Amino acid sequence: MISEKVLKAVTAGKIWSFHGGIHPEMHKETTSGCLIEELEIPNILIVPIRQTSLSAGEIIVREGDRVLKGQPLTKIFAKGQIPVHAPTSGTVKSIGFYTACHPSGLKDQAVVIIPDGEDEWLEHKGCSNFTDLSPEELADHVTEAGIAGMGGAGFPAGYKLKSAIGKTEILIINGCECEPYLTADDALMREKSDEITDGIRIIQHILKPKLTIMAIEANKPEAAEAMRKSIQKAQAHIEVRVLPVRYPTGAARPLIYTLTGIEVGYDSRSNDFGVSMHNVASTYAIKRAVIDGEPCVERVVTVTGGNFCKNGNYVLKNGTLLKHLINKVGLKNNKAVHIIIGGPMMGFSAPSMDTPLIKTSGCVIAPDAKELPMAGDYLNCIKCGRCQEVCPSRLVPYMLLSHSRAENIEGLKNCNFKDCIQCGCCTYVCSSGIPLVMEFRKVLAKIKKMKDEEKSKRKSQELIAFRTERTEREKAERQARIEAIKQKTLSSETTESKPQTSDLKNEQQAKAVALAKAKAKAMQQVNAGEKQNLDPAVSADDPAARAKAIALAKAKTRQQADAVEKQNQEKQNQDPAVSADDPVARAKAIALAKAKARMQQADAGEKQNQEKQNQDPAVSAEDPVARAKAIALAKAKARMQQADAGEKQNQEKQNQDPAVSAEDPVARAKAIALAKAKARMQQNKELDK
Amino acid sequence: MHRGASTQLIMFMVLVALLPAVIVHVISFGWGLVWNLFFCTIWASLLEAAVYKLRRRSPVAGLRDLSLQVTVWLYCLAIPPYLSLWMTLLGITFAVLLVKHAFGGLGQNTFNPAMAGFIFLLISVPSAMGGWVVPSTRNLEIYNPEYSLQMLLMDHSDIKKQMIIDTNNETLKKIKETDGATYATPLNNFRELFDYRGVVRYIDRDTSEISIESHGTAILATAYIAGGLFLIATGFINFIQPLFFILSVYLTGLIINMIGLKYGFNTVNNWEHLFIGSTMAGAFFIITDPVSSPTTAKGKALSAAIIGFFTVIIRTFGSYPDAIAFAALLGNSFNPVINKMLKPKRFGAGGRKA
Ligand code: SF4
Ligand code: SF4
Repeated sequence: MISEKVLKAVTAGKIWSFHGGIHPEMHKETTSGCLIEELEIPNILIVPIRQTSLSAGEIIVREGDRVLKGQPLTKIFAKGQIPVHAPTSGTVKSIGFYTACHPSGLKDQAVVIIPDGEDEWLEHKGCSNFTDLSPEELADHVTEAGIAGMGGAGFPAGYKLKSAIGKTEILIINGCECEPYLTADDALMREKSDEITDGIRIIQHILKPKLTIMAIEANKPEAAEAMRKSIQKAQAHIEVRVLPVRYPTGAARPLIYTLTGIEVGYDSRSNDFGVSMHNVASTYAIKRAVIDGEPCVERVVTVTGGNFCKNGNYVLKNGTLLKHLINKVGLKNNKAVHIIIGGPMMGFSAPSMDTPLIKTSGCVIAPDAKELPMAGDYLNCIKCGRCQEVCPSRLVPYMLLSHSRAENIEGLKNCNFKDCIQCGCCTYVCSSGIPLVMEFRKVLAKIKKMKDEEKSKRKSQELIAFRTERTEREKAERQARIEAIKQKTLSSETTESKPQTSDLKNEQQAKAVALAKAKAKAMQQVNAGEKQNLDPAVSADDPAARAKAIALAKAKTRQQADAVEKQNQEKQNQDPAVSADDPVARAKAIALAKAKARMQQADAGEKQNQEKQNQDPAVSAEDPVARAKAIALAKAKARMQQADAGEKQNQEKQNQDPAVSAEDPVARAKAIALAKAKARMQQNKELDK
Repeated sequence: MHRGASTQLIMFMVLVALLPAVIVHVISFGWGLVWNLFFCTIWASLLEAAVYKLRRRSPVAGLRDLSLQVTVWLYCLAIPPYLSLWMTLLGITFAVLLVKHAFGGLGQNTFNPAMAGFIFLLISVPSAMGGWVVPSTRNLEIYNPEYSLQMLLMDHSDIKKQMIIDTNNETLKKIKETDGATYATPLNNFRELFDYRGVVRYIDRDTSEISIESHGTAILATAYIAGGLFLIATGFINFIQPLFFILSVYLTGLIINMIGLKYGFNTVNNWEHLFIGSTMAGAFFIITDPVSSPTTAKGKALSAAIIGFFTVIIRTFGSYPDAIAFAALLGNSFNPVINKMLKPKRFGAGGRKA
């Protein structure tokens, strides 16, 4: 926590100067005077469900659904996830994998929405009296509104707030916007200063800091003035601090150092020091989420660069495609279009014009030939040391460079590579025009890939080990069981016999019981409704299988008798066949059904010679394999049913039991598949709910 | 988007700044340097292109950074203007292939290739390294392009003989009388030539007239200074290294002088240290080579001071002339240590977890 002395110095307005930094040409003039404009609703929106570097929630809409603006498209299950909301009203056209807003151009899951142009809001209710809510509630509310840190890093704001509750002494609102070209935050502060002030007050209520500083770089005097006025009007305790212009003052760590003199290394978090920081745009989004109840579905984006016809700050809906923006704004030169998403220093080249803009993309630049960064080949590093002079993290970038090229991970570690904030200062000053940051990103991607591979390798190894262990165990268990049974059979004549025993009588009895059960089941199924019976037929795409299934259904209908019992579990029993998308599972399910049908056919009457019944399925089945299966299944079932004969069993248990007790490996495999299919189906069902 | 000067530009400016020295050199010693530059450039470029080809990099891109040119120029300015061509080319081959590229190309080499090439020659063909003529304006006439070329194609013993024959200059005759055989660099024999005021002692000279004959090395040094100051003024090199180097040379010279007076060994006047040999070339062009010097300001200062110190020590006690080259290589070898020692403090380590 912060000592009194430091707090005093900070309050007194002391400004620390971080190492390095650069003074690039700002290029802000073209957009800094622009008012925030709305852009026409596009005719298609592709909303990636993953908008932060953390995992995404689960999609809860279906193709064809009509969604309203602000309606959640995903639901969060784990910490760190944030939901995405429909940016406007319209229809969900499809759900699938589309180009993500990422330099790699990889595809990621996204929801495609065709807007209907009405922009109709989902009914929502704000809460102007946010002080009535507890900090935790408010933080959760921010999470539910899907607010990602809008400064670029994209850490979910809600979690950031929650983790800082009770730990924050200094709250920093980051309005530096130190990167060239960007003026979106500037525009927000000038036009929405009241809202931002409200947003800050909400954060203050959540975090209860001793001191709140709003940091604005000196090149935005109007923004600072507007903020000051609003703060005064609201009588909020917020200090506006104007900082000297230098890139990257607005990056988290340099800014914390500038304002407090605290250096947050890569192995610690600002919370540990009692400092918490939020971006202006996030603050604005928080205000809208809490007071207006509107989730984060759009943001202000600076659209600039010599190649755009009309530069400005536009409100863009989450998921707006680059090409829509280009169409609306217009390009001067349509050949060899190069678009940068994010700032010129920290951003990346858009992989395609179908790239959607997301919550963290605050700037789109279409540079003209003049502005385009030095292209292509670069010279050798001459160790001029300039990169080292400007690195705000006090790294030695040319060392990192040579380690990155050599993929020397150990060396990178020794050079504190993790402290690199990828600010791009080194690239900017490099005498040899070496794209250092690009090299860093490359090696980072490689490290990540290596880690992932290692992880999956470990996982599969674990899985294999687990499987072998299980097989071993089962084998041993089975062996033990067989032994036990043998012993028992030898010693006494009990009804506790198993099919493995040579006691024919017992076996027959067991089968009889099983048959009775099966019959009862069949009747119930019929009673439960035609639909259920027909389901397997509907889902099977194999005509033969379908024909059989129909035949089975018919057979069942024919056998229809006055069944009395009603069990809901029956449905479950039949369902695997319905929902199983795995052909093997389906085939098995059909085989099972067939076996059952055959048995039931044989058992058309109420009372029949048990011997005959037992034989019949085998006799009538024309396919030897199917016959074998049928026998195995019947046996398995018989065994189970015998175990809890006369009781109303839990069908699930029955279905799982074969796995344990069946001695025939094929049958076991089938049973497992069946159980799996069922489990999957149940999951699906839950999801549907 | 504005960036700092490119490597190419830096190297180009270094070449521009070397021009005055090249001109003075040619005026004082004749056309030998021009031929050396010509042949070395072609040869070294071919070598480097071959290396880049082998490393599957575009030779054009590799040569574009002009660093090879700088190496060639510094090398040619360091070696005697009249040296058998094969030796000259051998030296530059060593510099390019072994010193520069065996260490992984520009930026990876620890040692300054130009100096390493020079020292390679000094060690392998020491007797030939005396192929200096005494500076004179007449050299330009005597060693005209045609004649210089002829000289370079000779064997080095012939070169020596030829130079003696050529010397009809009064001053040179005088030297011949005192030191008949050797026409070494003025500094090489400063012990013998200590009284030869025209070459070495310039500072308390009694003549007010300044000429190449009387102030040869000093004028060359001035040309280096001019180029160096230009580079500093335009921001292409940092003043730290020249400053600390010159200070170090001067102070070490002062101390050595005092000790020398007490114990009675010959030393060079501390002021003279600054103007003899290639002190100034070293200060502004050799030790400032970014590749072979530390990257931090502190490191640069430290390394420059070390090189200055060794320069004077080697001059006083060593057996080789042109101590700068040795001192520079010695200093270079400290770079990894210096870079490690002065590695910036990790971000966050200074953070106060209060
Ligand atoms: S990108 Fe990394 S290494 Fe380069 S200046 Fe920024 S922090 Fe330093
Ligand atoms: S700025 Fe470029 S050339 Fe200079 S040391 Fe850094 S990486 Fe090497």
